[in-house]
Amino acid sequence: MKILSLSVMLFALLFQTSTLAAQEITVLKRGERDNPWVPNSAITQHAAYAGYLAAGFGYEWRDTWAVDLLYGYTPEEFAGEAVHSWTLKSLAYIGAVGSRDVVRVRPYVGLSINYSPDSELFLQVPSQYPAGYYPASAVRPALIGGLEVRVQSQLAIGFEFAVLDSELAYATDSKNFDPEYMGSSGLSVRWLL
Amino acid sequence: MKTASFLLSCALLTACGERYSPWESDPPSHLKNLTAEQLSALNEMPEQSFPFTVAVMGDPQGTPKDLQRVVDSINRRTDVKFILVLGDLTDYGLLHEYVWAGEALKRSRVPFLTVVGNHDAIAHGKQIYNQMFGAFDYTFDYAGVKFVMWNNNQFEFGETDFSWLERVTDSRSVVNSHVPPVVDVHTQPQIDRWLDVNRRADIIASLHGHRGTQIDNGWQENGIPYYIVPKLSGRRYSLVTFHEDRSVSFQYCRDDCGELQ
Repeated sequence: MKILSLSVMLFALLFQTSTLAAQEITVLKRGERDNPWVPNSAITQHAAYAGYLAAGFGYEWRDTWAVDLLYGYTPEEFAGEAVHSWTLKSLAYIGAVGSRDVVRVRPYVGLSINYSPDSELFLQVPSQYPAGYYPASAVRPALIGGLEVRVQSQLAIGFEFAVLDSELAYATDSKNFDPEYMGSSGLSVRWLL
Repeated sequence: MKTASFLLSCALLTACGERYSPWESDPPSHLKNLTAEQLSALNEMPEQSFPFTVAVMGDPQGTPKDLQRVVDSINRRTDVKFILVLGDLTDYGLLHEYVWAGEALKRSRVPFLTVVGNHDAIAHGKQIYNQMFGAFDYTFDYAGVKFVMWNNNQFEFGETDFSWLERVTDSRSVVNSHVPPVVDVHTQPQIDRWLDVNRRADIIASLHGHRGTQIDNGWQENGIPYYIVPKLSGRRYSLVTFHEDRSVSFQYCRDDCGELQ
């Protein structure tokens, strides 16, 4: 099922990119809506610690900063038990390759906070422990980086890599970065509203 | 350019690990039921006789490469019969930390046996430990010595079951648990009961982790040696040698044990 799902997503990507060469794209300028509370993108994401499948919305300001909120679900067959989670991301876009009117590739870095409302996890240490005995187990921050590829005027594909705070110990201890043992890649699709 | 960027991104995507959630709890199949697998290997070992030496380590959480280096170091020795890991393989009870520890320990050419630590039980850690290793309490024999692997993480698992310890210990026993018998997790009356169980059983030794950087490593109580293994960080571990006359000797090791203290 995992391979099938990935194949479907990659096929969708290939289909989208196959239309690029022939068309000029006008990119919707985001962040200029009258109502600042209305999100300017809808997002779905696969992996990168947001869930097997995550969906949510995002805000972007002045082409440089974005905040995304995603609800994610990972079924039991992929996680041992079903995991529900929320991911809040703060992304900073660090330049762009390409112009506004054509396909653009925008690298970004950011921070995310993952939260799971699971009864075995806690935000505040339960009463049987001394105060401050453990940090919150229901929350895991992560460093994220990625590339957003605008493939149509209202569609962007994101390739993301996320490293949890708890995974940084591996890089610190081994003095190198080993993607086999730390971090997770992911794929997202962003529809501009 | 566009196509190249896309293909590069796809390559990165497939090259890097794909993980869905920090709270996944299903270990990879080659890292399941390790206790049973290791006990089977231990039981097949020939010449179980005195004296024999065991490598003992504790609290490898947060230093997965140091754990790997220690295992590699032990692999270069010829005198170690098996390895005891006295809990806290993880900091947050997360699957990726368990995988780091499991992969490092699987490098060992001698069997390794573990007890669960308090940090291992955070989040979904109990479930992961249970699948990856097995029972939280168990015993095994080597050369007639009974190694008692005891879960005494009271905050995480509820009040410590001293009656289990009482039932399984005897004069051939070496008790291994994460939490040592000092007032910390347990109250003084619980410590008194614990020491009394050990005294009445006349155990050979009591080995622990959890506080390897905070208090003196070894002491005697009612003629029984108690030992708290140093935290593994910095590639530290210990060698414990069991002799036929029930005496036990301890060596502190760092790196390849060239600097015994």
